[in-house]
Amino acid sequence: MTRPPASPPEAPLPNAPVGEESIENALQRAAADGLPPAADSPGSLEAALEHAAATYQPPAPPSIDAALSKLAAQSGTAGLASAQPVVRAYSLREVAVVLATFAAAMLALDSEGLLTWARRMEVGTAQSVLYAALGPLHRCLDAVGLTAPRRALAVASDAAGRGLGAQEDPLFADAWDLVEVAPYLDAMAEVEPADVASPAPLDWEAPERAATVKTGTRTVLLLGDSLFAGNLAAAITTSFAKEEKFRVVSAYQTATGLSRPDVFDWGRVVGPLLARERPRYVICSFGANDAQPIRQGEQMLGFGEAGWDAVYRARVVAMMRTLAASGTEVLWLDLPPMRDERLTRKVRHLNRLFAAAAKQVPGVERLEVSMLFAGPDGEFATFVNHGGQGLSRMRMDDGIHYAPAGARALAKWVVDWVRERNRRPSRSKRRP
Amino acid sequence: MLFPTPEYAIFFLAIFAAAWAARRSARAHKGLLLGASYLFYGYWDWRFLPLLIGISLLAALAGQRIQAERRSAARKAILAAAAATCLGALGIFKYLGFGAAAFISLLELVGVHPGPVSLPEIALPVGVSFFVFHAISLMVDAYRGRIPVKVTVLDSLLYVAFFPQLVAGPILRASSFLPQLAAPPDPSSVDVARALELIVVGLVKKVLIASFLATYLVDPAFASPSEHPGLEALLAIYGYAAQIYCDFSGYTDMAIGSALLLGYRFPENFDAPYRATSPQDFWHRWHISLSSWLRDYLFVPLGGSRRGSRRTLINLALTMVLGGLWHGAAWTFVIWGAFQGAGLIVHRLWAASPSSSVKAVRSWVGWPHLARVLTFHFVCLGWVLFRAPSLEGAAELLGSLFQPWQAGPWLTAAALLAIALGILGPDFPSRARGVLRLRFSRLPLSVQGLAFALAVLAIEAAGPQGVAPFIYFQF
Repeated sequence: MTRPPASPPEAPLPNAPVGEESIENALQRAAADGLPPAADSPGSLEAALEHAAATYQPPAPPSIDAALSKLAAQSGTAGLASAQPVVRAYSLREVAVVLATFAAAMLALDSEGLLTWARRMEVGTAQSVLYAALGPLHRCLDAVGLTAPRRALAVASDAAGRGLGAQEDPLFADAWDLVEVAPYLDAMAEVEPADVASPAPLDWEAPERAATVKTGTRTVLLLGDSLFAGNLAAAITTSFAKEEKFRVVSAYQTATGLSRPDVFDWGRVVGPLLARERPRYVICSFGANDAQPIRQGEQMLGFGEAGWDAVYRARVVAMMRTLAASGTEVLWLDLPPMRDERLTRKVRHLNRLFAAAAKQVPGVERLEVSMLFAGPDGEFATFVNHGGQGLSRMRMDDGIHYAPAGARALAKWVVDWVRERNRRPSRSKRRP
Repeated sequence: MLFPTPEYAIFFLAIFAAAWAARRSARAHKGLLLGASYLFYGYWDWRFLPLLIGISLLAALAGQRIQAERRSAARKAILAAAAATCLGALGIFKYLGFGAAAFISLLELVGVHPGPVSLPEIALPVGVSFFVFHAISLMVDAYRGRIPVKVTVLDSLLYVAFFPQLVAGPILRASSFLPQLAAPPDPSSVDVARALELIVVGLVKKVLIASFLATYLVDPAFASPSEHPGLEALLAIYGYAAQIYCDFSGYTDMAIGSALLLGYRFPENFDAPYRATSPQDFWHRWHISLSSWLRDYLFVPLGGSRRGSRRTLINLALTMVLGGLWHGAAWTFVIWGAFQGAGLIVHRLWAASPSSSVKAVRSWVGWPHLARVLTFHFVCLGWVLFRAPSLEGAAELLGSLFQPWQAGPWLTAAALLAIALGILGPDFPSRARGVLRLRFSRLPLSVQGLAFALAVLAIEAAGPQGVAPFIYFQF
């Protein structure tokens, strides 16, 4: 005969019967609360017991602990985090004081970090409000000297990193880390579109890298955002790996683009980078992060507006001109269709801008990639069938980045382009 | 939102204040936490919020019904239908494309060419694997009568969606978390010192160690193995072992710390995994909440080790392959699962072997140390499969291990230190940490807050400029 399943017990009541507590404890508590402790007098004992019953609070933590360890033993989960005893019981007020002090200290000491955070947000009202609040706060705190600890910590960690051999490429680190944030915000108001992409010369010495490159080696520079970072740069590098004649340099930065030089300024990077690596071929992939509003001085230009298009196209043209200078051959990769339809529409708009810009700059070619990444109906497809060899996964789960097979397919087109250019005589007499 | 960001800090402080202020009313308290959890999830992509709410509501209603129902046939039917729906949802959102592609490849292999076919393109909701597993835990625990409190809809919704564990675990058990939700929140159970320690250590592991190793050592080597041969490949593999541990356990630490500040206790998810002396021991120390979930809801229902040794090995293999597949819809994860299953099988046979030479080895005094080194390398081999973009990539990296070993500019003290901290860090005696916590909790309160702020400030100042994405997110 089967037993009916045990009915689940109710949650523990706040006022448990006195039977759970010993009589001595009840009397002691009553005495502590000021009631007469005479144990031999039934009246006072009753009063003490009544009082104890009225004020008894079962200690919740031990019973939960016991129940949980019992259940843990039953279900076999490893020890709970609370298996170690609580070192000190904080009251809620004390916890609140600790966290409130933390919040106040962060606001006082980390205004620079908060301002950087605000700067990297998408351009919009929220960002404007944060700037309006954090900008003046930062200036005040800076005047008082409260921003010094963070700067000191940054300097110390940089020194420690250098000592341990962990050096970020200074070229890129500086483009992320705009130390003088407040003046930059003011300066942005006066900037003309064409100026932003022109490289501001940095006080920076070219390292010995160029000297170690053998003469006759052609450098292929990969420039762009995270579309390279996933698998594409790897696929291109692997294709050229066995060949001494070509050297591939990857110079991509995740989460960057041309819309937001206030977040990462490619304009500052490109000039010195070209001087250092002296590429013969540059493969570019920008735009995946660019479908967002642009702040131009006081104005906020929404994506796709005429003003936005003008500013962005000017930046693209400036970038292309910088890259194609001194005889470098530039291949500008279009953006593939995305799983998200809205994003695909934006991407197509960007591709049209790229096409218009590339027409203006000699030495720049565009590569349309959508055929590789479209299914039979011409729309986005994660898996594509190439010539009856089964479906290959072309895109990652996020519906944006290239999967290994997709990256290999695209890399093949890029490599073919490079080899074909390599067979032709060089465009400029200055190139070796 | 990600944990190590200002958005989360602001969000958390606000929720902390609101939730504790509302502690007198259980409904308000839990309703606030539930709303905050939906906000947290919707911050990523609000389009997936209906799926989360739907799955948790289904689990809540099914759990309630199962608990109330006396007839075992009805309970079984409800459980079967609800679990099938949850797993079906997981299958559609996560595995449809992969499954269909595999099926079509299989057809082409046998000579059938189905012609051009458009597969449905479904976006992968963040954390779907986690919250579906929570839902199943709720329903099965209710069925087994393991939940000591009454299942209510609000508690169940909060159990599935609670934001510290929502996107990357630890996977909570209904049997141990629902009682916590049923009891009134107790501020004196908040171990502040431990919570702050967990958050700071988690940040260090994730923001400093894991990001650094990924950017400078691991990602380049796995992307183009031929460019990083020999010793560099080896260091990249060790680096990945350190990176994945620091990344995942760092995130879990912050989750446990956040929950602790809100008055809830999560189970430990990691227990010095690289100290394991066998694959079996490893799975008692790595992603503990997942391995125990697989044991209780997959291995045991399959028969566990109760149906003879051969059936046990089959059950082990099947559980591990499915566990691998849970990590992602790709063949590398399936192979990784099979690899881990093979390790478990070999270990079981080894440990039960009647051979006297095996027994001699196992009783040798140096064996535990050798076993630890062997297990660590077994696990590292598995990580190559787990991380490599494809099977060919994994083979390429392993092949490049056999290139000549030479030092190079990549061999820096920073890399070695990061790897040492990642792999040997948990060996740091926990008693010393307990003493530090005790001393910290005796400091004046404002000094505690200030110390916490300085620690976070230092980590932020030392960290990288961009944010490296957390590995376990698309699971």
